[in-house]
Amino acid sequence: MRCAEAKRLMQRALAGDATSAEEKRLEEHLGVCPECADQWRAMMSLAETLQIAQPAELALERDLGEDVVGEIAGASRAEHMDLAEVPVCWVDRVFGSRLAQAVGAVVFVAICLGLLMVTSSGMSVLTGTLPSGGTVPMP
Amino acid sequence: MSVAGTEAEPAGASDLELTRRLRAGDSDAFRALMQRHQARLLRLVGRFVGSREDAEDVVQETFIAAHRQMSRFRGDASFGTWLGRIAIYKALKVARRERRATPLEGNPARQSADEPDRAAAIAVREAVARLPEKLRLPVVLRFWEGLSGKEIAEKLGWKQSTVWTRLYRGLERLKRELEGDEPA
Repeated sequence: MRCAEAKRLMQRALAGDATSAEEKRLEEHLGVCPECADQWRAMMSLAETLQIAQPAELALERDLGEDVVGEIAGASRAEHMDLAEVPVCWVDRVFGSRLAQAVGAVVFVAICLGLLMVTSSGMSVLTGTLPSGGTVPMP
Repeated sequence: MSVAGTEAEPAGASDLELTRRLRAGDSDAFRALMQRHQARLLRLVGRFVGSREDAEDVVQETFIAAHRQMSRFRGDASFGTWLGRIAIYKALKVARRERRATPLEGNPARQSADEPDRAAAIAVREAVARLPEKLRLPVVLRFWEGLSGKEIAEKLGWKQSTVWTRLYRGLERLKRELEGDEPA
């Protein structure tokens, strides 16, 4: 086995993911490669140091869920209140009603029809065609 | 929030069942999920965050975020893994802020009672805290939380091979730092 492969096996072994066959192959390589053996010893020593130096575990001293339930309920209430208290802009007041929207729709349709008629009569003049289908006599 | 204590007792139901009930508006299911996961989450967050107050805040924020983002939980990973992932990234955010404000030595509450060499332990913890986050995560989860590379990959949503290389690089960097080869 080459050292590069041994390093890959060391990575897996340190993560606790190496199979027993992989561990055996690594051991065999470490037995014949002092450089890799040194590296492995250093890593194992560091792993031990880390475990000794780990900070004390935090144990639960109170039910953290109670505050969360209160906060979620509070946020929900605040959201509803916020929506209720939003001041209505004059634009919304004028254009927000159903009557205003209906009037707006009628005006819009009327404008569109007007534009259509103006455009069609303009086209007739340009092409020399009467709207009735006749032809304008050319001078 | 509505209360709908139906079917079986929430405490006996699986996480998946409780999340289904939560989506249906059952606040008891959410309470049961919090009770089930809060101690484990606090311990996990405590690996990254210095003070108990900050760690408790992170756990609570995690639950609030989970409640808000419940529609995003598809059940690909377990609910606990999903919660843990939210908590870790929130904890890292707080840890960044803490590191700017207070060094780890300023927090005697987090010392282990049976620490043989307090100064050496602090030096190691400081070196861990100085690691870039992508190297610190696998180191902490492996050696302080006792997770395997496979479990870390699942928790963080990384490839397993990424965990292997980053864990190794993290250890190499720690070794150099502790030997004084690398400036802090």
